[in-house]
Amino acid sequence: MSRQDWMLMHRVAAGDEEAIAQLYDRFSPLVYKVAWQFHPSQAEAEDAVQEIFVRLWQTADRFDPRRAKLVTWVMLIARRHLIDRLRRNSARPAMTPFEVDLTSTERSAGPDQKPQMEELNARLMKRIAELPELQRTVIERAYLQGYTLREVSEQLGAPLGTIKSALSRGLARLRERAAGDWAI
Amino acid sequence: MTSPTPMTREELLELAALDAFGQLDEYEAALYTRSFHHAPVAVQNEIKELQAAFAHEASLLPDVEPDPALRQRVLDAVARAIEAESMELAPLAMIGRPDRARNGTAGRMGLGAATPVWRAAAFALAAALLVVAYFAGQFLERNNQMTDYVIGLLTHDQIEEAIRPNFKDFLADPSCEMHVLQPSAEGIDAVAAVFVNERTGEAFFFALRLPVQSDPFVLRATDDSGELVSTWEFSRTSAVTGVRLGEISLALTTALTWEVVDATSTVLLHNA
Repeated sequence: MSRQDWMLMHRVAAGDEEAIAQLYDRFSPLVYKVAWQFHPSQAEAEDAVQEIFVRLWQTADRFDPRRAKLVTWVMLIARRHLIDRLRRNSARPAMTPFEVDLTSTERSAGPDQKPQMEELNARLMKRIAELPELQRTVIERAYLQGYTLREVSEQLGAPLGTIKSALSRGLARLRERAAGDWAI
Repeated sequence: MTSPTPMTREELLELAALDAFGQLDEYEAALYTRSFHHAPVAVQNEIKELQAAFAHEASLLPDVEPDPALRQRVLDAVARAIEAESMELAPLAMIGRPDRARNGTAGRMGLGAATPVWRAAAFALAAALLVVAYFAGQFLERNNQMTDYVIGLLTHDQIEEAIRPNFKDFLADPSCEMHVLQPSAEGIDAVAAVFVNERTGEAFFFALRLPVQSDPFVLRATDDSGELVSTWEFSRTSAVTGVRLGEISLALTTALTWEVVDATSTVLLHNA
């Protein structure tokens, strides 16, 4: 798969329309989710997705399958772009898992999506709320709001190493708990 | 450049998620990448799997799906970006057209296929010009003559249009390493160099006096296991030839062998 992925990105870099369509079909659901996480409205998330795929075309020749899987690369580019976008707009996501305004998401989500989103947000909130305080705060600010770890370190007055460790462990714990949920 | 001790497996795994999410600072990210490539393949695979799992972890993301109509809008947006870049650089496209266009494959690949052609062409002579000028007295004995020659090829406006404002910063950056390629046999008068910023991966290639009769050429990069990592096709544009290699993977900035081969696959220049 890594060889095929490298070939795909090689073609994307060359502007091959079919390859770009393949890239979209494969990763747009995931990219849209992360765009929504940063910009919880359909219009903003869609604008962000368009920009991300332009960015993926611009950076396609830098993808190295020996260093990372394609999904990791795509999501890294997506997250970096979304963080840059937030900084350009001088705004952070108004919502966090702890202060989700479901009325605003309902405006953008289709009627069929509302119950699912409510359920997922509730699950996610619950999982994050169960984390130790530092891990919870760091995940909220770094992972969901796009602050750099250095910024979080300064905000909390805690050493950078502690912040890194808290984020890494918090994410690992969330994954473990998510796996447990699915097992149930 | 100093080489800090590579991270251990435990450290690599500890920071895997942060690396995947782009949360490491520039220095740490470079150290992480270097350590990753020092690690055994089994550990590398373990990290790649872990990072992919984090990246793909749907439980950390909202449960929403894109509107089907978004697909065409995204494809149109990318096509517009490709076209915009092509139009921006089109005036310089006639300089040093690479082989792919000449072989007729550009049409098959669509509008965007011409973009790397123009991008490479736009940077080619400008890169050569500044490289020659900057390394005057350090690199080649006859470079003053070459500098004059290159300056004669480009107008001031062309240079301004093609070159990035911070290109001199690229050359002055302490992370910029020069890999000199020497002739592989007697009788070859050419000389070349690859310039790589080992922090960012940005790279340029520059050559003097490539033989006219050997055109076109391929610059090849192979890793220390002999595996071909990447190739760049280019044509001799004048006595001085420059090619922007783009931002190559940081994984490729060390332990690489660079070679220039001619149309008959004969190695003309190499850095080994």
